[in-house]
Amino acid sequence: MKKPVRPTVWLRLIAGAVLPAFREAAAARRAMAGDAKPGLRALLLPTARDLESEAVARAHTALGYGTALRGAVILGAHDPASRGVLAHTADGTARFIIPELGFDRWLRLERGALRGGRGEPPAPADVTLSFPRWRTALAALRGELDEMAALGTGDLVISGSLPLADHLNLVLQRMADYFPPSK
Amino acid sequence: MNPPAPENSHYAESLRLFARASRVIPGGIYGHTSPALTVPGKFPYFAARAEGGRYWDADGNEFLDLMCGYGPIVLGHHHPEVEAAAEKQRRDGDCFNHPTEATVLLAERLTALTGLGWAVLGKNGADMTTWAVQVAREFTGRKKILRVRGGYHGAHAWCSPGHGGIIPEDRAHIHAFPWNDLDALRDLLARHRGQVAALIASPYHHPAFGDSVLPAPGYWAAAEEACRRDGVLLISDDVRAGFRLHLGGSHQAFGFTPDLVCFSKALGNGHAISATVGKAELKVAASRVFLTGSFWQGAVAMRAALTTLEILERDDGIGRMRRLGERFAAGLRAGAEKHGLRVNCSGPPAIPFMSFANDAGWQRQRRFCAEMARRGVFLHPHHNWFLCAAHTEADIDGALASADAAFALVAAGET
Ligand SMILES: Cc1ncc(COP(=O)(O)O)c(C=O)c1O
Repeated sequence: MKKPVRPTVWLRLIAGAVLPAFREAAAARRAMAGDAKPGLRALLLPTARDLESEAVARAHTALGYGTALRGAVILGAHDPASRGVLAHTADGTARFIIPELGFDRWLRLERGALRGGRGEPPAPADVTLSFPRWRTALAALRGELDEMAALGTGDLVISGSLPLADHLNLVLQRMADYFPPSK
Repeated sequence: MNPPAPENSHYAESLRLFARASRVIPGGIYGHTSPALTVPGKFPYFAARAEGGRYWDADGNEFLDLMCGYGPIVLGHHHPEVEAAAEKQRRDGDCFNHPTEATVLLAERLTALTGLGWAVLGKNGADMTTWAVQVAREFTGRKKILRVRGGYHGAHAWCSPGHGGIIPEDRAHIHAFPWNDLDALRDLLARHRGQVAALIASPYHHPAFGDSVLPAPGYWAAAEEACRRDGVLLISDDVRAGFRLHLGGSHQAFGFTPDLVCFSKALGNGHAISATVGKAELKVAASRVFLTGSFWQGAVAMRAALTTLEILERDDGIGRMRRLGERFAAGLRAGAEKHGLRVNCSGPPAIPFMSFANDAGWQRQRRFCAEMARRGVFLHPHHNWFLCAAHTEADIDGALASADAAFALVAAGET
């Protein structure tokens, strides 16, 4: 269910999550081989057509998760729906990894407040979410993955505290209310 | 960490079926039996058959069944007397244009056992918890319902633990407080004085992803008193614990007096049936709250329930489950200690649970339960367990022998 979005939160997300994504996208673009480099829009808000390029799809997946995790920290502080979820979530650390993309970040919830970062988390992870295949991560990012089924088949592996993963996932999914993926 | 390829797995057929299921069924397996809630790849996903206290999965692996279908199996799978009664009724017919005598017999039996005034029958627990809430609202003319945070009352919108498809209005008048927290309960009652229809709670707290917690000394007496003072009805959701702790309802084991009691699970030993039993003074209000379902008058499940209750009483099934549970918990504690591990055994003995101390992210718990499954003992890592009267002392001792090996691996810290 899409919940109402707030313009002030949207502005904070633009400043704190989306603008850094532009910088990251520019860096990703520079690192790409060849002449036919994709535009920043294709990397950040790709259409189904843009995603036909594997290089674009891979880069977008990492950029998208990075943006979503940064966004979660902002949502956790300012978005009433997300704050409501986190108010009833036990403290803990979650690690998000997509090994094929070298993506490895964490979110830590302490007394209702979220923070996040890259690499080794500040405390042992209470839960680790891992996508063995980056394509599955892309499908999840675009809201096209049956996550319960993916857990059963091992396309998504959640090791540790499922309630923490579930609640953080709710906050991450809020990003799609603010920035729906383009089709 | 990932579920292995089917051909390399102990659960190859389960995994194959799941791959097919996930193409045609949202989630593959939805709800409480979803593999996502266990340790995917380390547990069976699909069952094939069962007998007594054991079952076999789709791969032919045999398990001591310490989940009992998440509660319904209280006398053992395929109990001969229960099935004979069901079979006799099946030959006479199940789904008629009318109820049968079985409906009346079962309502009489449930009122006699509980000492309450009337009973209605349904199919699932949530049918009853939702209806009981409506009866409380009808009787009191009030809107608000208090519940315990982390308690489970079914998959209906007002109480589902899920998030999808729920709108804030579904829960606009539902207010939660922590279990055993009398101050929080009194606060809510004060804040909504004159507006609260009922408090719904299970007789003890049995959250998923948590230890079971019994009522603190004096809790129920004080909670009941606080509710009575404000004209708030008490609904005991005994769907999970009913008929494992006391034949007349688990509230009798914990010494409180609800106005409405919801039962399901163990009532029919695996046959789909549920019931709400209520105080005589609520009967008129209850008669005004519409209640029905296509299969709710099914006579087969009612005959099964009548026989289940009879056998539980005749053979002291409840005493038997308690003794087996005590043996199990004592053995688990001793086994853990032998390996230098600290565990918390919680819940009443017949509905036991065990978790490890200092187990962030439930890692040891998941390892332990996965190892138990590999050794043919089915326990859930994140949900309370269930014993049944068909289990034997030898079953429990066998499970404890498996636990010894599983504890050793957990203590060695291998993942
Ligand atoms: C305490 C409690 N209440 C209600 C329910 C809902 O019952 P059902 O799943 O049959 O609707 C359950 C089911 O597990 C339960 O444990």
